[in-house]
Amino acid sequence: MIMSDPIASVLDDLLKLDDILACMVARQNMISVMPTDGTDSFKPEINKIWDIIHRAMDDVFTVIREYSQAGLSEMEFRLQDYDALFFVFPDTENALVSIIPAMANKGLLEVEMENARRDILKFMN
Amino acid sequence: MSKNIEFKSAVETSRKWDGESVAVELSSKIKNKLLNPNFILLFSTIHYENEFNKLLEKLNNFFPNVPIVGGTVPGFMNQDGCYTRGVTSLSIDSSAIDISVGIGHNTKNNPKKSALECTNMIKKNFTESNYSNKLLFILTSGTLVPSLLGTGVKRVYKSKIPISMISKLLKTSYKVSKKGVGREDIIFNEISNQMPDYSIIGGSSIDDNKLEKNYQFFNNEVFTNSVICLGINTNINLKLESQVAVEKTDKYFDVKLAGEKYIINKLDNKPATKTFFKHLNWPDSLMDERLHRRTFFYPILFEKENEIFPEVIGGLIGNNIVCGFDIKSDKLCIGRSSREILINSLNKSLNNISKSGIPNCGIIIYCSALLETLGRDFFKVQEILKKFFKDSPFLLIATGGEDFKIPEKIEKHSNETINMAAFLK
Repeated sequence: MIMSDPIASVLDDLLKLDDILACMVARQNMISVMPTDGTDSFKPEINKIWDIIHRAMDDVFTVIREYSQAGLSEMEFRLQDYDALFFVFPDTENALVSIIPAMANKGLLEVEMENARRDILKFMN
Repeated sequence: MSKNIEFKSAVETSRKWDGESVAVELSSKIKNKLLNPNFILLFSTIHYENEFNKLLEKLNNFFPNVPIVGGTVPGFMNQDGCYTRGVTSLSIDSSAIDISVGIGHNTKNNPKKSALECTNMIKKNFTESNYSNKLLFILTSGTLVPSLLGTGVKRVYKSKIPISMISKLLKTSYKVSKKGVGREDIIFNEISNQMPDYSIIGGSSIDDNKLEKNYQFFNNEVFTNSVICLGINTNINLKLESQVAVEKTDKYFDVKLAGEKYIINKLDNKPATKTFFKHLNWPDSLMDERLHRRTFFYPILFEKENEIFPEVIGGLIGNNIVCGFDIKSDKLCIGRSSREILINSLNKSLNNISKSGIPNCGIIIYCSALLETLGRDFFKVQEILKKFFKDSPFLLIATGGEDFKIPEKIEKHSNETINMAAFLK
């Protein structure tokens, strides 16, 4: 069972970074945990593209479902001017998902996404 | 280390968001371990920009007689973890060190003068120090990308602009907006000339790799376009190490520079940008604002006095390649970097240090380009360092350029290097 409030706080922290436009814990066809204010806390520029990104995410989760148990740990895609990063929770079908601008310094953001993933894992366990 | 020498060190982290809470947390953690710290090195990511004044004031209140120096960095790593958002400190409490601090201002407009200002302050407080091992830590305000044509901050200008105009625009930018290349190599050269018997380690203070702003800390004040120094005289054994995280390829070019010595106008007598792209088989479509993320893997190298100086390509202005610091050779090589090369360089450094002794505390300066390319694999570097340092504290800071010198050897400001200073047991 995923305990929402502490994980929502972790997502709130991640969203404070300028280039994290949206983040959530999700699985196929379901967003398991949103930040405290839900999509209201996403950066406004994501609104115009959220629907299509959300649908693309679900397709990616088909692959995550298939290969998570085999050690798939990370996926990403680029759609228009945005990157979606998926950090998979081991042996689960859930992933921490962040949407960032394609021009962002991805390496630095990955470090904080990994910190968030590790914090969330502690709450999951 | 002699049994009579007391030496304690502490490397601490805060992930609180407001400046006062950061100061409270850091000071509590430092005081838990150290009775009388000699100094506090303080590094913060840019996210705390609006909190620096409160943070420093509060920290100063907790440690009124302790010099506090530092600045902004894109990321750091210590025993606690890896972070590209947070604040960290390194402090030492020892009877066997003398400390002096200095600051120089207006680095971009007057680099030599700022270096002199800084070293004069350092020397003033060291007149009676008799310790033989001398170390200088420096942190210089790094490059701030200017808006050259009033079209916003850009790294790639596709339109052809005459070289004479580029030089004029860059010189004007220093005076008007105080933006441009950091000129850290000139500052480092002057500091090195003023303090010839010091080993020097340090780097360029930047933000989150956007190169839009950076700050330096000196006691309870926040500055920009400054260079700060921490001088340490001690009889504790020190070991310094430097490795480039880049390999040479066998492709060399004759180089012709533009008016500024960090701008490459021609390679093998042909337009520099076109020649560089052709050599790497890159289509023109890669000439965009994400360029620097690709060129991290293909730095330009020059050699001087048997040392390799990697340079990350900062930007393109028409057919001119803009680098971060002066090129001191008429021949260049295209280098190659990768995760494997990086990890091998790190291990080589650690092996060399271990031959000299067991570290009590270490500071590592690490190119921000390497952090950006590693991303999540930064945690793998932490595993290696934790295994090496065991229970001893270490602090790795990422910087936008690295400075390294040991006495009687050439001073080296470059990119894509890993430099370490370890206090040995």
